[in-house]
Amino acid sequence: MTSEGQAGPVRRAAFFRLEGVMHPAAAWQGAAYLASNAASMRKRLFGLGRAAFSGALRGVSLAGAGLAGAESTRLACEVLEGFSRDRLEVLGEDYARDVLLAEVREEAVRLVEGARRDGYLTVLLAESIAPVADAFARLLAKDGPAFDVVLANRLELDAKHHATGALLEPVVGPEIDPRRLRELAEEQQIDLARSRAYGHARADLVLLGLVGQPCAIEPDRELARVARDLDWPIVRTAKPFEASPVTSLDTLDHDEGASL
Amino acid sequence: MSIDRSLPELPIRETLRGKHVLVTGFTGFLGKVLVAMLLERVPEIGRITLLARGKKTQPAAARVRHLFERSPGLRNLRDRHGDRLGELLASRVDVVAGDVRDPLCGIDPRVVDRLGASLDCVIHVAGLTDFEPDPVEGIAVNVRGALHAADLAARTRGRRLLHVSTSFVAGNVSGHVPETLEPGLSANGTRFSPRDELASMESLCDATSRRFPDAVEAKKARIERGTLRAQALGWPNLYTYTKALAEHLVAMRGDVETTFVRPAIVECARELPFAGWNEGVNTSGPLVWLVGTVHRRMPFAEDHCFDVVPVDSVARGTILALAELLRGEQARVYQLASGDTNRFTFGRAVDLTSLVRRREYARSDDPFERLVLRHLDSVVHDRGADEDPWLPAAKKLTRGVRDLFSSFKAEHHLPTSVRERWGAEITKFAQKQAKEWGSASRTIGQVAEMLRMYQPFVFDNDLELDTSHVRRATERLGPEERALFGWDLASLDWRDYWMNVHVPGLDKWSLPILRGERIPDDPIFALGTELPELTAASHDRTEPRRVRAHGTTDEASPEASPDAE
Repeated sequence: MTSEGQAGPVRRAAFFRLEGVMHPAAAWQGAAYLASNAASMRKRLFGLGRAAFSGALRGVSLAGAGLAGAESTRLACEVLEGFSRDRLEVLGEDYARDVLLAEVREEAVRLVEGARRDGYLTVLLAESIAPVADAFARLLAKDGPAFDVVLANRLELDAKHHATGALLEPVVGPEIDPRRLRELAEEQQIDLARSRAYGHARADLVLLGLVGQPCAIEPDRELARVARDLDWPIVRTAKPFEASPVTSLDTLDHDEGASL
Repeated sequence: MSIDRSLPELPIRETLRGKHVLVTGFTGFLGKVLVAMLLERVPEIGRITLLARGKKTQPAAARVRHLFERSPGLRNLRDRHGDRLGELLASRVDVVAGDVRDPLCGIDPRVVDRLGASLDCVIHVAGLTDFEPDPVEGIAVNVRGALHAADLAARTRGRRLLHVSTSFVAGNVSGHVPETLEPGLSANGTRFSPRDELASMESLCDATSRRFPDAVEAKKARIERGTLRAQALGWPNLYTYTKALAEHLVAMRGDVETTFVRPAIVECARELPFAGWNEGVNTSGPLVWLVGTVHRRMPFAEDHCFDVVPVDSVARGTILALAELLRGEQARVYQLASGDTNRFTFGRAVDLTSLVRRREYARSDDPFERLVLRHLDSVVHDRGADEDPWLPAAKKLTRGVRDLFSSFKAEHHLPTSVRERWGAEITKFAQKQAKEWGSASRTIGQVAEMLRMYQPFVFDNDLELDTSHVRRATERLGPEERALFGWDLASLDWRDYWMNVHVPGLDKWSLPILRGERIPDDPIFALGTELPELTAASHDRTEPRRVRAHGTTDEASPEASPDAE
């Protein structure tokens, strides 16, 4: 809400989570893919072990053990220590093309197209590292809709352009930091109350709760329960990994849509 | 980069308008691109005379014509001018038969007199680029050839010589290499007399040849002794030694205005004649090939500079130096390198090449490539080739397996019942295996030898070559000419160049040669006119000797010839 005469948020945005919404894979799976393609065998073995540990930690975290989600993101990205920027960019593109785009949720792509058609600023929120998220957005835009903004995790690089394994702040975790989202909204002049967001898991509740038009896509049990309780639209597909008719998409009408 | 107003402008086209230049080494890699760039981007140039060696079956003009008709390196001219190319060449280009090993480059003195009246500059590109040439040839081509080019330049109107050398005349040093040349000061700081050194090397070669009646033995001994002499003065091999000696001897002359252009490692074109073009096997070809094999541990220094320069960038730098030379504003030396503004390292080259191969092998139909090689990324060993235990062991192992299969005799090793039933098949299999393991052993031997030769460049020395002079010349260009001739490597995206231009270019134009295959010429293109050849019999350019086209037969790939810089 802005006072008269002041420049206020004027744009509507549609937020899409890469992990879960655009594609079912989690961020640590991407890190594991990259780790399994490290240049040396020793790094591959260590990297895969740590990626598996990170995945397990994520499971514990989701089971309610109270571990911060962003820590598991940091842990997952530590396996990339020593990776050259070239290797990150090239393998990130390979992963985006061969894994993410190969099994992208067609319904989510249609929602991105629809959002652009309706004049929304499209924002991709990724827990994955920027080389993966940027490549995904770039490759998707070749034959499909484009994202206007990509918010992803950035790895710290040393003087020789090798990853230190640390993530630069602010880290995009499984849960979106509300402060970070508000900052983004301010930067881009986004009116969150008139914006859409698409989530897949319980961790997306924060994101969905911040916008005026939340929507659950292939939600996990927890998110589905909340969505039903709050009367949010739910998108389900007959086959989650293939292009297919969407059973509940017809009922979606964001402009008149559901809100908290 | 913005225009530096404090420097006088350098109008390339205006400077070259109506000028007459003679180019040696046109049939080589750089020579073609340089001439193609001059013809395409400087239409104002007066005339380009190309020195080429004639052969028994093919006069010089026919050889040059064949290149204009069929060489991929001149494809841009055919594409651009189409049927009018013959007309353009007839008005801009002529050919003179000669050989840089001979006095006055083997050009008939009467032709030299005629040429001299109009020649503004001799551009000497020809040279031997083998790292370990027979010193007899190395001296004849790289040293005497340069002196002959200087002699020729001294008898021309312009008295100017642009001599293409190499950055690696810096020798066995590391760190910043300035663009300087001090005749008589060797790479390791030893004072020496270049004239005496040339005489000594030639007498060493003579003495060695007399001592070894067998030609092969004599050559081997000449290379060994010559290399020791080169190394004593601080040069890693005979190539850099001969190129450096030529620089020193030419620089001592007072009768010719000379500028030295020193490219670093000349590799695939970025844009001209087209992205990825290469010719022959240059320095990075074998390294890139090695990364695609099962050999994983590359004996390179990870952080050392891999000073690659695309061939068309070298052509740009050469034209910049030429323009300054023609205006009398030249620097003595122009180093054409990338490392001081946009450093590329061996570690990065190995990483990027591995990533290219990984993508290729992922799509391969060959299960060995898809399932094994794809996952064998190469890594930098950070040790010299002489400390690499793997290649000698692999060579020993493969040779042992070959000997095992070679010694197989069905009548000795198989029981009668098996021999009668499957003896012929097993013998055939063993023979085939012996051949394949023998081939693998030879390849490993070649690789080990190659790595030994490359060690000074990929492990021992880390040069940072100063390129101030070519960058300063670029600052003098207007915006339009800067796009065409400016030194442009600071903005080069190495990842894009290496993965999308260079390695695919090597795969197409160079690596097949390593496998013993031949690179095909482009489809036949008829020029429709003959190129004028200057001979003693032709009194002027309006009456040149006409040579029949030779465009319908194939020509061998560029040989290790004085033309192939």
